[in-house]
Amino acid sequence: MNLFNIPSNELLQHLINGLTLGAIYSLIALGYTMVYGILKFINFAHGEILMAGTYAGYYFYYFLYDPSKGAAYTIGIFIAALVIAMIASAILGVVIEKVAYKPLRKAPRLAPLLSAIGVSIILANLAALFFGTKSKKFEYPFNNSSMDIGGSSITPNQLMILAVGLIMMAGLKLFVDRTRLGKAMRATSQNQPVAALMGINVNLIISLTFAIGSALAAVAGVLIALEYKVYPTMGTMAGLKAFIAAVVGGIGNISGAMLGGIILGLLETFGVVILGIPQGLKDTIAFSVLILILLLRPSGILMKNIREKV
Amino acid sequence: MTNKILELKDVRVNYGNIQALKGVNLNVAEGEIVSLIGANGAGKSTLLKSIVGLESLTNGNITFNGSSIRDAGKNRKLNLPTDKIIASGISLVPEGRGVFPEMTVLENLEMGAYLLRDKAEKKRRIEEKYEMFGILRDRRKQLAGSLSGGEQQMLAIARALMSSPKLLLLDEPALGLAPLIIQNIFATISKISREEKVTIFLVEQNAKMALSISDKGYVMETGNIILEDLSSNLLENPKVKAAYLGE
Ligand SMILES: Nc1ncnc2c1ncn2[C@@H]1O[C@H](COP(=O)(O)OP(=O)(O)OP(=O)(O)O)[C@@H](O)[C@H]1O
Ligand SMILES: [Mg+2]
Repeated sequence: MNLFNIPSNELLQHLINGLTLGAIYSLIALGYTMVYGILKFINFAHGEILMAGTYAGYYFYYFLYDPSKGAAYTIGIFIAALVIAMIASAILGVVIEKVAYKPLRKAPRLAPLLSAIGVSIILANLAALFFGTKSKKFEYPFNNSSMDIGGSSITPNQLMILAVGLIMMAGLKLFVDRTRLGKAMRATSQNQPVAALMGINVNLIISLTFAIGSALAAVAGVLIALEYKVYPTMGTMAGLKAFIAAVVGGIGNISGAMLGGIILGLLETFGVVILGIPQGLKDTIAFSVLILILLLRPSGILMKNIREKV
Repeated sequence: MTNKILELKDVRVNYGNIQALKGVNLNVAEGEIVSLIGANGAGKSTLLKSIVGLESLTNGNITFNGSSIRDAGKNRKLNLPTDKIIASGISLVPEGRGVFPEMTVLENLEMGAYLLRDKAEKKRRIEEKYEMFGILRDRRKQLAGSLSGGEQQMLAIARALMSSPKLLLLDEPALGLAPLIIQNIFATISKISREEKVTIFLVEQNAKMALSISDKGYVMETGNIILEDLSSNLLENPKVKAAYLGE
């Protein structure tokens, strides 16, 4: 195959690069979309919730880190650190909702949005104060030297990102489609007062939504940290990009967020390769896509237009 | 004396400066069908929402089976949240049906029995609803949003019955439906009352239909109950005839 004059081995390489980047965006985008689905509100502190969880995972990892104990031990504490990061972000997400958003549920739309921006600035500044502004290196828990697969070089970390992303997203999809609480979550996003009429504790579902969305972001945070280090504003750009991914897929739509993330990751990667966009301008791709989507299909690519019949 | 299953005492509800309910006293006896009729904006939906805790009282109290479920005071024990009120045995079919449009008919029915953990019993109740409304069985895999208005109303009623409530509240089940379907819906409501031992409190603008199937009726005007009588008497009441029956 010879698409745009790219040799097939390079094509595979870019594809893997795009998919890994996309999987990260998808994991973060899910939090935006799930919260939007239920509260019709963009949680602009989502990127900072990701950052805080990543710090928790980072400190836990280095508290137990001891290379002399062997490879299995290192992978073990890494998995534990991932879980700690998820728990920390989940708790933070739930607390932020209770403290900063819930009291504003009946206020004008702009109020919780401003509150979210306030929370995000506070969190980033607190992180700078307590953890310092200097980036911290999060060592790979395994040897990350790249492998040759079909003539392209792929790192174990990329494979891990793809595997973890796939597992998390498949798990979430199963949860939302099949379980009692997952169905309650969908019901709440479709009609909140009527969901309450089914006996659903809507506040509990809202907390659960924040917990799951935040935990998924923490997973993405740790995976990003392995490649790009941990620092107080690490969630800002990733959060913005993932927000765009959520809009591209149709905000409020879970499958849309997954698809939107993957599409954005591929577009960014192939945009650089095919259109020859300089690396330094890579971020402009995402924002151009946002503008295009808003102009052409503001409800996103996957948004169905089912209306309630009257 | 019959047992009052639902009792409202001097219930007031405000939306900002608007007084939607201005001191409503009302009671429903166990096993009865009671209807509440009134024009647009009279406060009928507000009344139902305040019973299930979707609106807060600024004054008064609501009891269900003798215990307080909503109260204007600060005491939390007298003021249950919506999910607890549903759990205690009340169901509401909301105005405009409120089916979950992007869920299938079957999923909608399952949501109606959300609080029921017994899977076999849930299945039995779903089967029972399919028996009652054959159309729902045929459409069980279809998204509820794609049903016709009449089918959605059937689904909303079936869903409300999934929790096996003691008291069923209905908010304008005839709204926007063709006359033949309206007859069908009201026949179903009578049947539910007879066969399921469910007490029914029915809010309607279609006064003739509502009064013809109910035991007792209330007439509401701009937040106040202005008449209360046996439905058969209300059907003969000149004032009701002039204002609500178009005679
Ligand atoms: N959320 C709200 N905010 C402000 N005012 C409201 C709200 N809901 C209802 N109202 C007002 O309260 C009054 C009673 O409304 P309600 O919906 O209870 O009337 P209704 O009798 O159910 O009317 P309809 O037959 O048209 O459904 C109306 O004046 C309405 O405008
Ligand atoms: Mg109404």
